Amino acid sequence: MSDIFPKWTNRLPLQIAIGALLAGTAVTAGIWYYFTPKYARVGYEPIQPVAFSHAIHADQIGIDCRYCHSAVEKSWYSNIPSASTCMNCHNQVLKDSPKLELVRESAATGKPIPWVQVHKTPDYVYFNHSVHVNRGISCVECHGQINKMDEVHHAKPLSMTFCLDCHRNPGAHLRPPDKITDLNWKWNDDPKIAAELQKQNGDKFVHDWKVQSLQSCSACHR
Amino acid sequence: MKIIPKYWRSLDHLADTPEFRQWVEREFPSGASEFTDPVSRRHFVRIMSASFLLAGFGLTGCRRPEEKILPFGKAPENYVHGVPQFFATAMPTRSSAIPLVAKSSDGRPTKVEGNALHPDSNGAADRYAQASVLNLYDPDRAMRFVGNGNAVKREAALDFLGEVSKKAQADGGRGLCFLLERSSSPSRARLQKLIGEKFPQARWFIYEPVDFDIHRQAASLAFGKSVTPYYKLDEAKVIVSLDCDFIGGEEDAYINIRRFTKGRKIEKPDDTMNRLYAVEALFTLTGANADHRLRVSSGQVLTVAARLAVEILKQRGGFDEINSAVQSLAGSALANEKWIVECAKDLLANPGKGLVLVGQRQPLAVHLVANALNAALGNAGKTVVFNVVPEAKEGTISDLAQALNAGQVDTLVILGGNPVYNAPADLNWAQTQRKAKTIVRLGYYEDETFAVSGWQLPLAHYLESWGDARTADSTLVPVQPLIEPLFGGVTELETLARIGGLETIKPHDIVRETYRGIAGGNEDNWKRFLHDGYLPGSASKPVETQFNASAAAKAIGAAKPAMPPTKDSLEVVFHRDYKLDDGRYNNNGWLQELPDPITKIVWENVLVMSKKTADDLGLVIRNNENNQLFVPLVKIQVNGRAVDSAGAGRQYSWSGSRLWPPANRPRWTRLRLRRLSSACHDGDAFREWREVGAHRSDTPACHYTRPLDDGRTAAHSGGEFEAVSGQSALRQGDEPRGTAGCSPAVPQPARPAQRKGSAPVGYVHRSECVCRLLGLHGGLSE
Repeated sequence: MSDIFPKWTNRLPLQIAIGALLAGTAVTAGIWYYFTPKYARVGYEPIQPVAFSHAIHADQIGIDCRYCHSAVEKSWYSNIPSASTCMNCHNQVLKDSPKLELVRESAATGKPIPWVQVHKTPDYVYFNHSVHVNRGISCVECHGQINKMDEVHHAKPLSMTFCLDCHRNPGAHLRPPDKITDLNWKWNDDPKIAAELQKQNGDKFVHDWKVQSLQSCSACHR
Repeated sequence: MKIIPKYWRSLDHLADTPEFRQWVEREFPSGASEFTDPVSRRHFVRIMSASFLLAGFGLTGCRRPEEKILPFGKAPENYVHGVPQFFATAMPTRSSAIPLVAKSSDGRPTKVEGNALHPDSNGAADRYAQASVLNLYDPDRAMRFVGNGNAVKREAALDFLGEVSKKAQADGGRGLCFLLERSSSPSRARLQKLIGEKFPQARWFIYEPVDFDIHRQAASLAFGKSVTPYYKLDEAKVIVSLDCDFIGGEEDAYINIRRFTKGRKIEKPDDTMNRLYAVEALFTLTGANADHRLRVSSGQVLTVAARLAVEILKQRGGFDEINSAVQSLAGSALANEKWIVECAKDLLANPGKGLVLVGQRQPLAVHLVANALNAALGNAGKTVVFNVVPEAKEGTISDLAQALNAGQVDTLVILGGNPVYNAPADLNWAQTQRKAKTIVRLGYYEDETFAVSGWQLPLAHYLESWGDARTADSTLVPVQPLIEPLFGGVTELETLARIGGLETIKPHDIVRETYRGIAGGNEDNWKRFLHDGYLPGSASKPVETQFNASAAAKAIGAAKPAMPPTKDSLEVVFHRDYKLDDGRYNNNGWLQELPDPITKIVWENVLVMSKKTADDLGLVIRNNENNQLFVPLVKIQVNGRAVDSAGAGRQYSWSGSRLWPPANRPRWTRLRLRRLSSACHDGDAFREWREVGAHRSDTPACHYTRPLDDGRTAAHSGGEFEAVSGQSALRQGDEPRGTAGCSPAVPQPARPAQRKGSAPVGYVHRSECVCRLLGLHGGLSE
């Protein structure tokens, strides 16, 4: 009578253990990476109904963010400009461009342009634009270099860790209030000096502006 | 040969019965596998598992939903999404208005507060104003236009108003009657005048279940011209309230509170406080704040007032006609003689700095006595001033009932109110109203009056309406809409303008036109008026008044003093609820939830009486083993009419269609408010109101009382009633003792009602009558 289990089966438990370990690691790593906002959100770049380029408007022409997003300093909500805001310029510039057909129609009829939402905080998170912008947090901190984007994409994860990293050390991110909407601005071209200046001034801003950077749960999950 | 198994699993197996064999052969017990459905269980599971698998492949739950942001095409001026805006407006009340600043959160009114800019309000608002926001979003509001029982389009209903107008135009408004609520709106007065000129035969009537017009009536009679009093409580050192709840249930109490407390503020060592004497039957907020409170039955207030007048006029001299008129009313010395003498002394010691106030419930004679006292003591013109108001030419609801019964009414236009529910019971209004050929009604709910009305238009809330009003000092205030009418409701002004066939129909334009007539056409001033919420300098200038002693004495002389209540003829006092007003806020949870300031009752209606009265009537609190207090239903009969409990008379639920009681759904009935025939007192001077409200807990068909309009008493099945007031607790006990005058009748002992086919349900009918019964034997304070 031959053996029920051939000899090679002796190594089988070890192989299974190692295999399971590798598979488990792969699954964990996969979930760890792919299920996080870093993967799920960053890079999201929907096609917008109007081919609006921030690169042209903000960078090339140099329009301030607040010309269009005018409520950002006043409200928790940073508004998308109404079509009539666009028409302030575009009734002169490119006034017959077919690309702007939707904008002209919206301004004339009041029918809204269906922009696709890119950045979103969940409903259970309270976020107030005006509080951040008025306390030296630049647009670029959360939205990335919008001024370099033709089609807006999601540049930062906006995860809870992302928020907390900054809330735990706000001094590393604060900048002078007049540089909030200057997305290219740096303390210095030399990163070393820039870091030094950031450290000096950041802590001073935290003190002077009474930056609270709350970390309690109810600060955001109200 | 039968094989006997070596091992067996059951005795059936061992015996190997045919049933067992069959059972073994079958996969499932009999019945279980016999699906007749072509879709077998296995097939279903197969399909479902495949579906789940496919659903998993799709990862539909993991996809990012694409959401849109829809900005304005053209943004409204000064609007920032997420930042509330504030607008000045006003809440119209019966004869006044409360100037308000309303908060608008992204286009929705969410909160109101008093308008501090207004010269006379000091930024105050009352609980009704605070809670009125909730009424705007009341899901039970009338939401549709109804014509002869069918929902119709808005345009059709408005066209019908045009037809009414055309008909009136043809015959000068013959048979056209308007039933209105009280209003201080100059625009409405102007429209009434315009329509009156156009349709000279149209008739106007006003009805309010709780009416504050008596103040104007008394002052006009006493001073010989149409004036209304305006009280400067902050300048009074001695205040005597004759059943006047001026910091609670009276109109403009929110101003009175501030004025009164101002006189009590001590900032410097030599500051003095005002002194408040309160004579009252109920225990009210005013009584609770009084330095000296005299508890007498409501009917005896006239006697106390007369006694006070005798004391004062004895010292002051003059006013001989009044003096002789009150002598007979004052009668013999009262038990409270000393209190009255001291009060009179105090008033005499502060001439021009005293103030005698009389409550809205009290008859004209008491108001006239108070006017005489204010005139005699030199208070008139100092602590109480008089503003000229337009004379009221409208008839009463009784006049309208007469016209209806005489068949003189073709078209009845009811603007606001719910007369079928709260008209005097004697008028048998539900039947009387039917005598009009056409009924057009503007109503906030689909309620009892809706059921008897041919046409109903939904009324717009004041936060949805353009309008105007005058506050207590006659300052003109705008009523501005914060939102388009949620259900296309129309305002009173628009309805009137359409029926009048006027050129200007839009309420905004009507108000603008009225404003132009008052303050001129300057556009900037108009904008300022809307922005500030009042018109500066529009307060009326107090007029010099001359007391007309002979007219007042005549009216006082006509009054008869009420008999003091006895055990067999009790006195029932029906009062304006601190929370629900006359019942109009019945569907407002915020107000229902608000504790009554005196009894601390929420969501309840109770009948309050002294412990002694309850004992005398044999009403005792029963305490069961679970330490729950039970009180019986108390029924009050007045002259053959009865006030009853939950659901009584409330035939229509808010949806307007279902009969009461609604199936298994807790519903709040509205306070019932009816004028009773004046059986409690001689003469018809006293206004009694009966208010029955109810809290229905989840009680299907536990008891249903018949409507009371047939004059018979209503029948009751069981139900248990919980004591809701520490002092008043009543419950079942003896048979009623006599029915002369008012007497509580006690129903059969309560039994827990049973739901069909289930165990006894331990629900409790919470209490019923809102009225407070105050007997001979004393009030709550004992």
